[in-house]
Amino acid sequence: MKVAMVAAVGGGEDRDTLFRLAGAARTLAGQEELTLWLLDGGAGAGELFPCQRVLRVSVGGPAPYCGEGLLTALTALYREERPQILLLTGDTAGSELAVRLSCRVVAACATGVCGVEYGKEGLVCSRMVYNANLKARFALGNGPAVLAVSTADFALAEERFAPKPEERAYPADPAYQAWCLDASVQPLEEGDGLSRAKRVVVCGHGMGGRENMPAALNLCGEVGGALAGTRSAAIDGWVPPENLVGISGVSVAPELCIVLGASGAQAFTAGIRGDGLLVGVNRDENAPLFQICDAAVVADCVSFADTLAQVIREKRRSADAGR
Amino acid sequence: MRILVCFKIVDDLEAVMAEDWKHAGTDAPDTGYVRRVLNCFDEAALENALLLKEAYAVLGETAEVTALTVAPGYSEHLLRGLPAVGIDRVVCVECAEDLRFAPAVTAELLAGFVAQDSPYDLVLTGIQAPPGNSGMVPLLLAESLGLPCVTDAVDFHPGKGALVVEHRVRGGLCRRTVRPPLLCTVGNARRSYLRIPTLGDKLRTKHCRPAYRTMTGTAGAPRLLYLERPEQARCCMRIEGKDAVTKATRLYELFLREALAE
Repeated sequence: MKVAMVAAVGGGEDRDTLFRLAGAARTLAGQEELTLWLLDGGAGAGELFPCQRVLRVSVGGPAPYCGEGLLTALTALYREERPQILLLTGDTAGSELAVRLSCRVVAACATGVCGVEYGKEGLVCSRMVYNANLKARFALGNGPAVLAVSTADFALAEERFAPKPEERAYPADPAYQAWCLDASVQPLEEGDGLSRAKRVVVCGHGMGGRENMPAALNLCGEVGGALAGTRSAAIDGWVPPENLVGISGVSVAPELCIVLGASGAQAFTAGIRGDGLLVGVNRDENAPLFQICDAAVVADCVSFADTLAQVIREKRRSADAGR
Repeated sequence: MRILVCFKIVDDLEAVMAEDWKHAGTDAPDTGYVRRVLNCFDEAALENALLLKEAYAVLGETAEVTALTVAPGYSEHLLRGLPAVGIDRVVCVECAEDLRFAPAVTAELLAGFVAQDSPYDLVLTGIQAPPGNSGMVPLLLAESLGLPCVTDAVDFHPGKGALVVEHRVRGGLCRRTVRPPLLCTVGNARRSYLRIPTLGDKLRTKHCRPAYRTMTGTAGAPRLLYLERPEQARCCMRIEGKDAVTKATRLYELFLREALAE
């Protein structure tokens, strides 16, 4: 079965994302059947990618920073290559291309795919639904399919020497150039940094207001962690929107995660992955958050954050003095 | 400027009891007892359409905002509240199909309405909505209507014969100037909450009623095999103590000392 995967949609994924996407591909096909489509800016994959072919694809014109400017070239490439399954990353850029490309080439499509296999129903994909409260399995049949993959749910593929890339070049899409008069990008690093942070303090609506955020920042300073928030905290401007954790934001997998004043809605907790230590603080002793925590503290989260920061500082000081 | 906002009224899933998520099978979980709300991203799309309407008014241009939803799932009081905040027209397409996991059918119905109506310069939708959470409807709608698309928009500014859209891209925020018509999906926007109408607004629009259309979808949908509740529970230890200092000290000794060791 011919399987292809697209890299560097919308500005370049990190190495882990690509190798996890390859891990998803390996659940469907062997290395000898996998082709990597490396779009402009995807040089980061290196020569150690586990695939049979590499197509280095360049598209004319300025960087489009969106699927609209890549879609025509990607459709042409798809029609030349005709993969049975095409995999893209499950972020906004990858999902956009997956859905729109599937329309143009008449293929089945699924987004947010967290499990994939072939069975008697044909291609079967799993994905989270009902705001991550349930996982659904869908049968997509035996025809071609384009999938946007939730890469965090797949294991890393192993490194192998990749063959020399074949070059493919496509002209800029004139319709895109006539439509988009100007585009410039202001870098925002916070979200990317958060997804790799080893320690994270997440604030929910229970923090009560922006005026209480110094308590959370103080705790961040003591634990050496990154500050994040639930959607309501991010929308209310208590934390930068790039630092939103949940199904509409960043997924984190820290070694230590302290959650202050979040109820524990699935739409938020689905963004906390891995098996790191999870500490929940909430005034409500029945908060659903506590069901997924390793340690639960029933307390006012603002005053507890201050107290905990102070305790950590004192313990460190006395440990240093004892050395 | 004609603006169409496609929105969805959804169950408040945070209010569903844990027990009701179990034994789902392929049926919809029992959510009949929870309140219905505007999908949060669609709420942001509606508010940003109103902000654009006001911005065009400052420039001396007229903007008309139509809000379109597809039933089942409508809630009359939410629909009737929209004219009071400034939505010029509210349309509800009624259909009998199970649309939970049928984004192509939903997009087909929305596109069917647009095809019968006058052309729109800007179509706004939320970036995703439960229960499907696939984010596919707006993208399929863009393809059906042949519109270029900008995803994850956070803010809009009117320009001369153009529209400036700020939208999130990987690692950054893109400021893009485009020529309408286009479709934008709205994500975690700068203004995400729909304004609250005044009593005067409510009285002025109390006779406004949504227009209803009945349509049928023919597009296919992936076959749902089953639904299951993902197991997330951990062996949680409750940290007890007479005051915050005691609890914080216990938490540190039992868990954090090791976790914070360099």
